[in-house]
Amino acid sequence: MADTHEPGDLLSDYFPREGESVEDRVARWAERDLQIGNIAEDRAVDHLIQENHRLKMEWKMPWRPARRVASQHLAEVRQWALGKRPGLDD
Amino acid sequence: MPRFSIVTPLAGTSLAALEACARSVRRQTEAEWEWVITLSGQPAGHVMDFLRRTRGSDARVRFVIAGDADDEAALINQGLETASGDFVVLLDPHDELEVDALARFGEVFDAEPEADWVYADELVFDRARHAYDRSFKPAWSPDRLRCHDYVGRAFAVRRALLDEVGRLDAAAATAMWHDLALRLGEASRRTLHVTAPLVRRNSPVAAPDSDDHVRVVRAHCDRVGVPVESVEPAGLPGVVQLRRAVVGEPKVSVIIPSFGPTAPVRGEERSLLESIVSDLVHRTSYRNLEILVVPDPDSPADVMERVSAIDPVRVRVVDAVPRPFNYSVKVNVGAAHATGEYLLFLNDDTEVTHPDWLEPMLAIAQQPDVGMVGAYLRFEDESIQHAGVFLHGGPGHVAFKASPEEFSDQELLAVDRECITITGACMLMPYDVYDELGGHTLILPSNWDDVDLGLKVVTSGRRVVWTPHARLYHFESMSRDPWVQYFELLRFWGRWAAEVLADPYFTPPVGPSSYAWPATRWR
Repeated sequence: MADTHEPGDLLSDYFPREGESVEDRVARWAERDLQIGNIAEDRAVDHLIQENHRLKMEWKMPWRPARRVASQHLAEVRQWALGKRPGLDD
Repeated sequence: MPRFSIVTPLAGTSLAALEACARSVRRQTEAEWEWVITLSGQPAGHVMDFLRRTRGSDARVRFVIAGDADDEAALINQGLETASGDFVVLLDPHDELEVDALARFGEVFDAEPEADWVYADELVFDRARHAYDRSFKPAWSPDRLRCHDYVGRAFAVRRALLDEVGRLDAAAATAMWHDLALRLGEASRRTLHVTAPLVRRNSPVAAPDSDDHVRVVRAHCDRVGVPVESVEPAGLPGVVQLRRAVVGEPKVSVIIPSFGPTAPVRGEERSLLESIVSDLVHRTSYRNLEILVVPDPDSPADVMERVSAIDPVRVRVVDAVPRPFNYSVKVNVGAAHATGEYLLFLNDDTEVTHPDWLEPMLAIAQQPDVGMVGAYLRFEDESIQHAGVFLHGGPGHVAFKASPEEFSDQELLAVDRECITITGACMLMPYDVYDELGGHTLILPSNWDDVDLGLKVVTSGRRVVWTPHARLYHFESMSRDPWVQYFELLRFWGRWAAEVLADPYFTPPVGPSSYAWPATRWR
């Protein structure tokens, strides 16, 4: 079949926040990356199932590792952002 | 089922070639077709006999006598006048269709109602070896098409589109096929690529004359509003180099994450960060820059002070990012401080080679559907460090460590070209795109974060473009560990399993190693 890339309709609901600090911005990006990464992971899983590679791949791909790690990093970045502004968000 | 008109201009073709061509048309059993053969004057008796036998009682085969028309454009255009199919294939009488060519084109038109123009790979006859080479083509690449006609003649096009753009223009002279491709690309709602060879090309296609070629590319730029600085012959057959002009003077924020290392370069110890910041301030012609350095907590304070002193107005050293090391956090923090419309991520182990390196990247990034632009990077010994990235299970660099002069596919190094992604060592992005995509991912702390970001760009519907006009040295990994960890591989695959084995710009997968480059020819 043909190959192409379609405009990403899943991203159309996105609006940046105004007047945010550097820390907020970095935390928001981490959140956004997690959201996009989740969509990509779901697509990856669908792809593996469709391609009948799932059984072959599972042994070397622990289930959805990126999502778990992204959540963990998001928490760390939030902590870091809060640490930069003591007393404001705790 | 789509109905195809195959149009073949006949002038001075040998009977043997014509027999093979006719056989290939007759083998198209899975599709509905007609074959319109346009004749210039009266062919030789034995050729005419063959044509009459071929037609026999088959109403699908028709002859059109083109009167006094004798050039290829006029012959084809006259054939098109009488063609009745909804889709058209222009078949040279020396060439052959693969047995499933029309069926494959038809599948795409059936599945994608907005597809107007569909092209395929080709098998190209090599007279010296007496064998066919496969000519691979990339997915739809409008910037690349401006520089060379990578599509060639192996395509099927919606008849209505061909009529709309005015068919072949004899005034384009030797560049008329590239001219047609450019006009089809301008008007096509969707242009798709079939990753299979559907045409056997038996006769060499003559490269356009330089003057004709430059003229049609300039005319195309005028029609679609590409701001042009120059269009020049590239010194390769059929290739021109287009330099776009920057519109306005948007601010570019250069983000350099660095712990302030020193390393030997050309036999001398060098403070890498100071060197590249000095290059940006003193050896870069684009002036509307701010330079944001993101240090580590233990970066040498004296280096950072000296760096700030290079240009106290434009250079800013932001607060250090705490450990543990995560490259993505560092660049995201730098980007979050940026005030420019464009972000340029630059490694500290790079060196500027010519002052106007940034303008070509910026000019490409100003296209609304471009999300990322990469540069031509070389090692200290002039071998290629980066000319775009391809995916084959993991990412690999096009022409990695090859000699620029000896690399087999020279046109790849000569033209602006769409890629699946580019290296983060020198990467320009519009700020809005970076913001929308959530910047660099934190799950890949030191490797492949750039590939991940490129895939986010591409899957958001934007293009990633590499340009040979922005050249820098990259003393790769002098300032960090280059090895990819197993966990990074897992995380990368966890996200991009669907993409890593199907790079639309380099298909099918290339070689057993991600850094291997195939011996076959690429367009």
